[in-house]
Amino acid sequence: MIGRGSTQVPEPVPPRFDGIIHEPMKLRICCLLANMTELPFSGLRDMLGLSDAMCSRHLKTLGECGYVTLSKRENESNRHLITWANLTPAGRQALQGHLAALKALAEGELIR
Amino acid sequence: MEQQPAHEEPSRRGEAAYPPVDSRSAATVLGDIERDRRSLGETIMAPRWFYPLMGAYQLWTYFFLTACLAAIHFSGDPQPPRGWMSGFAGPFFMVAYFMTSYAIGWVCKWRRGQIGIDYSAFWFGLVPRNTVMWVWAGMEIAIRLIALALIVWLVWSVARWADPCLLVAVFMGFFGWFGTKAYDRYFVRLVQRGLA
Repeated sequence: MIGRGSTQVPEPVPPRFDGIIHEPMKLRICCLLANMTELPFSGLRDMLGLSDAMCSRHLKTLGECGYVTLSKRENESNRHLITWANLTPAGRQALQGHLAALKALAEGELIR
Repeated sequence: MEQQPAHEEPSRRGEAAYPPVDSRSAATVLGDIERDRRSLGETIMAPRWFYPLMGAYQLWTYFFLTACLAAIHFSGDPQPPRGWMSGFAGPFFMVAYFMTSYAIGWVCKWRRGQIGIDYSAFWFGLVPRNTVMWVWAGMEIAIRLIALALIVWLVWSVARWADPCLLVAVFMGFFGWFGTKAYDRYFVRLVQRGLA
């Protein structure tokens, strides 16, 4: 079951700035989600030091753009409802393009 | 490299156009992302008590198996005189083992609640992501089966020699402790390097 997170070398993605992901907090959310199959809302909120409302707003925007899907599930140990976020293939592609563009910029290449 | 204007794409939800990007701010953002990965890695790692607990559970499991096998194997022998308490020993061990298993199952569900479907409550660990993790998981299963076979062989065949079985149980306890920890640590390294 080698999932989407397999460490096979990915194909190079052309650098491409993305209007949604460019906002720093959304970029950080997408980068965190790219590492795992899914992350809990509370985990994202705590790692990024956001308020509930801000975290929810960012996730909602990303969700409306089709970059993130949100699902609610009961925690198996205590039956509390937990919101899980995961990055969609479209979100992953946009993120990879955006990161490639940022790396190119950081290395001094001009994207015009 | 695809030619894309960095600051011209209109915003999709009426948000402000991107702030201008230069090489320094791009490097800063990439640094933030690197730090986020490191902190994510630390949250994936279970608390310190988790790994010794897993080790203790493995030790307890193999000890319990040894006791069960020995009890079955020696049941036909002339028994030493039994007091009224000895009748409770078997059921007590059974109940204790199943209660421990239930508690460990709950702990694993709690861990799954922490990191989501990347943790398998069935597998009692992180779902393998790459060849190294699959090989490690395969080796772990093989070692568990070998330990089980060794215990059966020692109890059944080698003149009821049960003491080495306890050594096997202790070995499996340490393997459960440090093996699980090493496996999780490897996954954390993958995440921290952005390879997960």
